[in-house]
Amino acid sequence: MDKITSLRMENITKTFPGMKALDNVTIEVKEGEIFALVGENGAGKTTLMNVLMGLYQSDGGCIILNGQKVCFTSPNDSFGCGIGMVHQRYMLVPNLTVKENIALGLKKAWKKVKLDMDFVVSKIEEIGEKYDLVVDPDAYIWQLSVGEQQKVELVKTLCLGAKFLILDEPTSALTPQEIDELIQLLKTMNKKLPMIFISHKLKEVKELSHKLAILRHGKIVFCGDTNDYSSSDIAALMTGREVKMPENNEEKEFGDYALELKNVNVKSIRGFLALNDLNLKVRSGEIMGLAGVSGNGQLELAQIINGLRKIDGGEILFLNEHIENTSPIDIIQKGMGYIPEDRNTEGIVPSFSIKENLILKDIENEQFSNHTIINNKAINDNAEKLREQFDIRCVNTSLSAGALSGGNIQKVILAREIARKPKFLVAVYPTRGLDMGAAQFIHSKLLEMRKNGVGILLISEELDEIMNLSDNIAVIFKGHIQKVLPAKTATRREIGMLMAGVNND
Amino acid sequence: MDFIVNILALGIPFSVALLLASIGEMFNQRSGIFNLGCEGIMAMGAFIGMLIPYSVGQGGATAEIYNFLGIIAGALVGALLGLVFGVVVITFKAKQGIAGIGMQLFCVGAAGTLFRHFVGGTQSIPGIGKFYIPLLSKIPILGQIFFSHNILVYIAFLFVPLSVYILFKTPWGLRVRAVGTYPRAADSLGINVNRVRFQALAVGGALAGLAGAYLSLCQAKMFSDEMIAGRGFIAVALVYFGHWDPIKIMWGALLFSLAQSFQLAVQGQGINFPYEFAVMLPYVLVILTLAFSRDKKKQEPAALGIAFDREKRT
Ligand SMILES: Nc1ncnc2c1ncn2[C@@H]1O[C@H](COP(=O)(O)OP(=O)(O)OP(=O)(O)O)[C@@H](O)[C@H]1O
Ligand SMILES: [Mg+2]
Repeated sequence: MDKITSLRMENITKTFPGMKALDNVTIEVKEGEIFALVGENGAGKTTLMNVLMGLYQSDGGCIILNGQKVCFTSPNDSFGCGIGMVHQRYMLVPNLTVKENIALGLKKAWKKVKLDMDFVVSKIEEIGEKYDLVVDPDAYIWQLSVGEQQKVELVKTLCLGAKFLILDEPTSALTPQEIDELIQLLKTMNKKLPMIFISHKLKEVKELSHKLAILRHGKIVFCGDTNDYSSSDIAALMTGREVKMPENNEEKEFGDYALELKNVNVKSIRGFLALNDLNLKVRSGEIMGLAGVSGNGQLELAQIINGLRKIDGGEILFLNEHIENTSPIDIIQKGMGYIPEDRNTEGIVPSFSIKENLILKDIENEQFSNHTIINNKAINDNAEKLREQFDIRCVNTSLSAGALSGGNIQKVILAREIARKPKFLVAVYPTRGLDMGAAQFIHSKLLEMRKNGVGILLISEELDEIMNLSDNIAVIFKGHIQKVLPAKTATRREIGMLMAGVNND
Repeated sequence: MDFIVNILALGIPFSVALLLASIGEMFNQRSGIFNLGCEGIMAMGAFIGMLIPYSVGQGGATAEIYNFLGIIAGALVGALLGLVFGVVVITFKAKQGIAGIGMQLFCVGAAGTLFRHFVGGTQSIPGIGKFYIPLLSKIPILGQIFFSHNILVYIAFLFVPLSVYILFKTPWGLRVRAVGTYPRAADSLGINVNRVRFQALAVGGALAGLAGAYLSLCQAKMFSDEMIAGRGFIAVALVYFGHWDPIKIMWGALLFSLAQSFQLAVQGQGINFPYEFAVMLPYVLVILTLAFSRDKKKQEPAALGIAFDREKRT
C-alpha cells in the first residue's frame, strides 16, 4: 500500500471496567484531509486513537482502510499499514538517549550485531533540517523538559515515516512560536498525507483542519466542515454553553513580600548556569506571571522554590524565612503549594488511587490520620468533595490515578494543591492539556486565591493566560529576570522582545 | 607474598559462578523481570553438568568431550528453566517474587532428588582441569594469579565486555533496556514486549545453568544438595548493588570472592581471629562498597517486577 486514500472507523465501541469510553463512534478521513477531533477531558479521544493504533482492542466495530477491512491487534500491524502516532503521554524511555529512543523503532538501523547509530543520527539531522525541529540526539530523556520531550516525540514519529499521521495534543507543551512553526509544517506535510489532529486549542483546530468531530462522553455529537463554524460556535457545541475566560481586573492592595529570591545561581543537569543571578519578589495576594521561552530556567526556578533542587548561590526567603536548600517537606509544611510541570512523575503517583493522590501531601495531617492509622472515611469524603468541585471524570475515586485521561490527571493535581489552602502557590503551566471549560474554572480559582491573599507565581507559555491573570509580569531569559512589567500596561510586543533577550534599558 | 598470591589465585576462580549467574540475572532484570529462582537454576545446572560426564564418560580420551557436553547441557537446562519461569510470570502474570521463591525451592529439591535417584551418594568426578595459557602463565606471580585457571574462568570474564556490548550496541540490547524501563513505549513502536522478556529470561537462565555446571565440574568436582550455598541469592543482590552495570557487577563478584578467599586463608593459617567475623567479612564488604556507589546513569529498570498489560493504564 503506498497511499492511504481513506480511513474509516465504524461503530467503534470500547468499555473499561465500569464505563463505556467509546459508544458506537464512526469517523472517516479522506485523502488530503486534516481531521480534527475535539472534546472535553475524558471524552474518549485518546482511547479512539489507541484503538486505531492497535494498542486497545475494541469491543465492537471495525476499521476500513482504502475500502478494505483491516484488523489491528498490535501497533506492529498499524505501523505495517503506515500509520504513525504522536502520543499525548510521550512514549519515550527515560533512561535511554534521544537517538536510542528513535533507534528503537527504526528497523533500518537494526543491523545484525550492531545498531547503526550513525544512520539514526543522520536521520535525526535530516528531519531536523527539513522541518526545523532541533533536538540533541545524545541527551537522555530524563534530562529534558516536557516541551523538549514533545519535540522528540514528534521527531521520532517523523523519522519513522508515516503515510497517515495521528497527533494527540502535539502542541500542549510547545512554545507559541514552536506551535506556529508546527502548524505550518503540518500544513505542508498534509499535501502528502492525511492526518487526525487532537487539540483543546480551537485556534489551532480552525487554522489547520478541514473536518471536525466533537466527542462527548464517548459519543460523536457533531461532525462537519471546520470552515462553516466559528471558534465560538465550536466551543458552544463542545461544552453546551458559552465560555468566557475570566480576567484579573479588580484593584487591590498587596500584602508583604511572601517570596523573595536574591541573586540566585543554579547549575543545570547539563552543566551550564540555568539560573543566573536571578532576583524576584512576589507579595501576598499578587499574581506574578513569569513569561519566557521554555528552557530559560522556568523549570529550575520552580524546583528550587519547592526544595527539589539545590542552589549554588543566593538566598530564597519564604514568609521571611530562609528556605534555600532545605527539604521539600519543610517547605510544604510552611505553606507552599506546587503544581509541577511533569504531571506523571512529579504530580501524582500513577499507581496510587485517585483519593490517595488527593491527600498525598496531607497524610500526616490530623484530618486524615492520627499518625498511626489512616482515617479512610475522611479520605473518601475529601475525594468525593473534590471530585465534584473540580469535575474529575472517573468511575470512582478508588481507581488508580494513572487510568485517568490526561486532562483529568491535571485536575487531580490542581484539586489537591488548591484545596490544601496554601499560603503561596507555584503554578507551572496549570492549564496544560485542560479543555476550555476546565481551564476557565481553574482561572477563576486562581483569581479567587488571589483575592484571599495568596501569592501566586504563574509560569506559563501562553501569553493570553499570563496577561489575563497577572498583576505583574516578569520576563525570564537565560535564567535571568530581564524586567518586571505591570500587566495593565504591558504589550505583547514588549514582552515578546524581552523574551527574545532584547532589553532596551 | 605467597599468602597474598594464593588469595588472589584462589579468589578469581571463586568469583566465576557468581559472575556468570549475576550477569544472567542482570539480563533478566534489565528486561523487567527478577528471577529469585537463580539459586535453583544453578543447582539444576550443577547436577545436569556433572551427570553427563559421570554417567557416560568417566576417564579416557573422550572425557573432555563429555565434560564439554556437561557444560552445554547445564546451560541448556538453565535456559529451559528460564523459559518455564517466563510462562509463570509473563504468560500467567504470577507475582515475580513469590514465583521465584517457588522456582528456587522446586529446582533445588528436584536436583537433589534426581541426584539420589541417578547417582546415589557423593561421587567425585575428574572434572575440568586447569588450562595454563602458554607463555603468559610462566610470568612469575602474575602468571599464577591470572593465567593458570580453568578455561571457563577466562570465558566468564570475556562475558563482561561481551554483555556490555550486547546491552549497549546491539538492537536486542536496546530492546531489552526499553522493555525493562518503559514497556509501553516499546510496545507502541511495535516491539513484542513479552517476547523480548522471554528471550532475556532464556539468556539469564542459560548463564545461571552455566554457573551451576561450573561449580560442579570445575570447582567442587562433585555434586551435593547444598553446593550452591546461597550463591544464587548473592548473585541477585550483586545485580542491585552493581546498578545493572556488568562492570560494576564484576567488581562486586571479585570483591566478594577475594574476601572469601582471604577469610579462608586466614582461617587456614590458624590466625587467631573470631571465626564468625571472618565469615561475615565478604558480605559486609560488598554491601558497604556497592551501597555507596551511586546509580549515576539512572540505569534502574523502572518496570522491574511489573507484568506488562497493554490495556491497563497506570
Ligand atoms: N486503560 C484504561 N483503563 C481504564 N480506564 C481508561 C483507560 N483508558 C482510558 N480510560 C478512561 O476512558 C475515558 C476516556 O479517556 P481518554 O484518555 O480517551 O480521554 P481524552 O478524550 O483523551 O481526554 P484528555 O483530553 O484529557 O486527554 C476516561 O474516563 C478514562 O479514565
Ligand atoms: Mg487524551
